[in-house]
Amino acid sequence: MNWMLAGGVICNGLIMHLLPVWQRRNLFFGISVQQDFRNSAEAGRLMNNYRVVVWGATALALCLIPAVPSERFVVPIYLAQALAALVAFAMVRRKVKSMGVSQPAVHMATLGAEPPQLPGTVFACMLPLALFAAAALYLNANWESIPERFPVHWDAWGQANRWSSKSLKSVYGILVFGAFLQLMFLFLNYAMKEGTRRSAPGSSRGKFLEANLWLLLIVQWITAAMFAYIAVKPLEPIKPSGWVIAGLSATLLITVLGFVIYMAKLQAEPAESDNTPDDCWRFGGQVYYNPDDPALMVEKRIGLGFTMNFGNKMSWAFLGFTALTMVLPIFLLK
Amino acid sequence: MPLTIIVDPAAATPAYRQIVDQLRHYIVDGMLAPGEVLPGVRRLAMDLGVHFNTVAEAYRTLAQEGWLEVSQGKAVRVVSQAPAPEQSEELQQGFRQRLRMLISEMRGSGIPVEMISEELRLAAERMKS
Repeated sequence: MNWMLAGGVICNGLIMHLLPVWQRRNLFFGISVQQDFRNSAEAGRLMNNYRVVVWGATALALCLIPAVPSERFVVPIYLAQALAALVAFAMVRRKVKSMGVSQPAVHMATLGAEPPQLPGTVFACMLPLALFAAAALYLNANWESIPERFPVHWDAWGQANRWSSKSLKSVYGILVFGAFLQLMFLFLNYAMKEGTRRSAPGSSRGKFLEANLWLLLIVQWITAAMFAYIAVKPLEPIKPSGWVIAGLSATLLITVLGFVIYMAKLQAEPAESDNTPDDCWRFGGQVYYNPDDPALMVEKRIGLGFTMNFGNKMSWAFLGFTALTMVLPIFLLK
Repeated sequence: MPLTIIVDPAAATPAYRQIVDQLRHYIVDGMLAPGEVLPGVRRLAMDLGVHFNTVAEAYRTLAQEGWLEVSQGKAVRVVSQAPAPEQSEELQQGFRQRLRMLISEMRGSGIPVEMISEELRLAAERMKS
């Protein structure tokens, strides 16, 4: 049994188990309901039905792991496990909808709700790009000292497992990729600050937005540090010195976990309506499509964070840009 | 206490009319002072989750009634002087009729006459002050 892969399957199951919990109190499987419906016997029965499928799929995935010939084949298992849970989620959601317990909410806005100093100023967002520029200048100044062959990929324990030959593409490619990633973060920051609804100061939704922006900013800084470190690494003697990357990864993981706990706590607080009609949430309540809503991003109904309004053309431009950042490393780091 | 705008998509009254009624009420009652800046069309539409045109139509209506100053590229402001209302007999008769209908509706819903009378008295006092 590969315990690392098994841990991944259990972790996946746990996230799916918690998915219906990570939503506002007036929602049940992403459908607006009366606050006390979540505590009813009917809701409990529906929740159990969903969780039986989640843990059934998890058990099946665990049984399949010893039969997997290589780590590569585990991805379809993870996907099948997630798909089973999502199908169960969509089925329960449909049942909730047909039960007639949904509550069409009124739309509400606070006049003059200017949030106090949201994190992620232009300067703070530009810092990672400045770091990349400094790394590029350093590499350029020490070009002669870069070895002809250097590591470009490391495993979880810091051991190099992929190498590259010295060229402009292999040396600077990682910085260009990092810069694209940072531009994507910049756009996300802008969309969350300017393209989301404003809530009354101190409200649960206001604090939730602020927490998301802080998390995004910290992720920006840590990933920028990681990319800059990897870029200048060829100038270090080649030896397993993955502790820097491991340390940064651990910091990232702890930060994300901390924010997840805080945001889950905020989500449990009473909040005003999210001003999104139930009918505009599609694919099991995961995708928001409302061309009449000018918001670029809205708070997720299921899970923590924000999601795009796919009825807004700008969100498609963002998706295109994201796809580009995913494809770019294939050419840059080949 | 921050002022809120509420739009009920299921209501018979169009969304833009609901916004107009609430904003006019805030202005008439002095909760929105002359010169006060309102959110732009884009911002209010985004906060309410309604189409831009809904808010634009509401602002246009209030501007035509003389409550708001709306011009391209400038902030939307509550005007510093209350509009001079037309006082034709026909108009007054129309309001009288609507008031009577509202009172009948309230009585029909079981609200005691004393309470209706008290509400009207308080509203009149607020207007004078």
